[in-house]
Amino acid sequence: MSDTDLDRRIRAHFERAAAAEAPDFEAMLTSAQSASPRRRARAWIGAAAAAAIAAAVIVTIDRRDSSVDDAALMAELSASTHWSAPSDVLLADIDGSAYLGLPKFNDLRYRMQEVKPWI
Amino acid sequence: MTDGLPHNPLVSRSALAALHEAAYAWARSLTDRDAEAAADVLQQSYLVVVDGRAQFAGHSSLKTFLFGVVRRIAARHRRGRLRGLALVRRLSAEPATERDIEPDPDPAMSRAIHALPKRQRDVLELVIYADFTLEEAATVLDISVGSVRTHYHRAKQTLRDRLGAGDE
Repeated sequence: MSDTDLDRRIRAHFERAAAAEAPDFEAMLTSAQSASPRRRARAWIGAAAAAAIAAAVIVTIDRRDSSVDDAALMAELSASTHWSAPSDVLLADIDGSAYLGLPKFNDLRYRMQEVKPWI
Repeated sequence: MTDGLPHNPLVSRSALAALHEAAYAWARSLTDRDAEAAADVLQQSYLVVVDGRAQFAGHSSLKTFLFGVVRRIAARHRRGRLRGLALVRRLSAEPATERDIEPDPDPAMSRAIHALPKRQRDVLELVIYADFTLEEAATVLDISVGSVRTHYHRAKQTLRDRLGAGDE
């Protein structure tokens, strides 16, 4: 096989693997730009919307910021994501972090942004 | 630049938009073709670019910079995701959904590429598919150009050997 043929087959492989419609760019960037400073200051959400399993999205919350209590966090997240706590939310504490299992709404992933520790 | 981001003035919306599909493809590659995870990674990448935590200084191309950001976010995302998966196994009896699998017109190549070490696959994708130079790929992966060159040539030689053996 010539080097050109090898490159062509490699390229074709990655082209097939990449063949998927990208999410809407404007929605993604607009959401990133609209994350409010106040919201970012409330808590730290590490890997937002990490796993799409069953019908839930898992959000990891680092509890290093002890000033953030669950009720305040729930209210903050609820206000920005449209789901109603606590009936739609699964909350568990493991290894010092809180995990929320959230219903997967269409706009949820783009609204859940990193929220920095209270300074 | 008329549409530069406020906290990252050398990055323009239009330039980001032009790279969007390529960046998403790279994110998919780094998340084992998981569309949901790739969207999350790309969204997080845009966030750190928008708020200036990842600052583009113009020392490389914007594409090189953005792909490097996506790679770092994907690595962090993967660590968080593994913890999330562990949680789900503990709290949910429902199985993970299976992804659709489409017919592969070149399964020999797919098997050979998937058998390569991850770093070699990444180098091949960046250089042959995403059209990066070896130097740019080194910047994206944060390794030396010499390492990239070695991975590149070893990967191609391995593919040549495996595909050649398979053809006989």
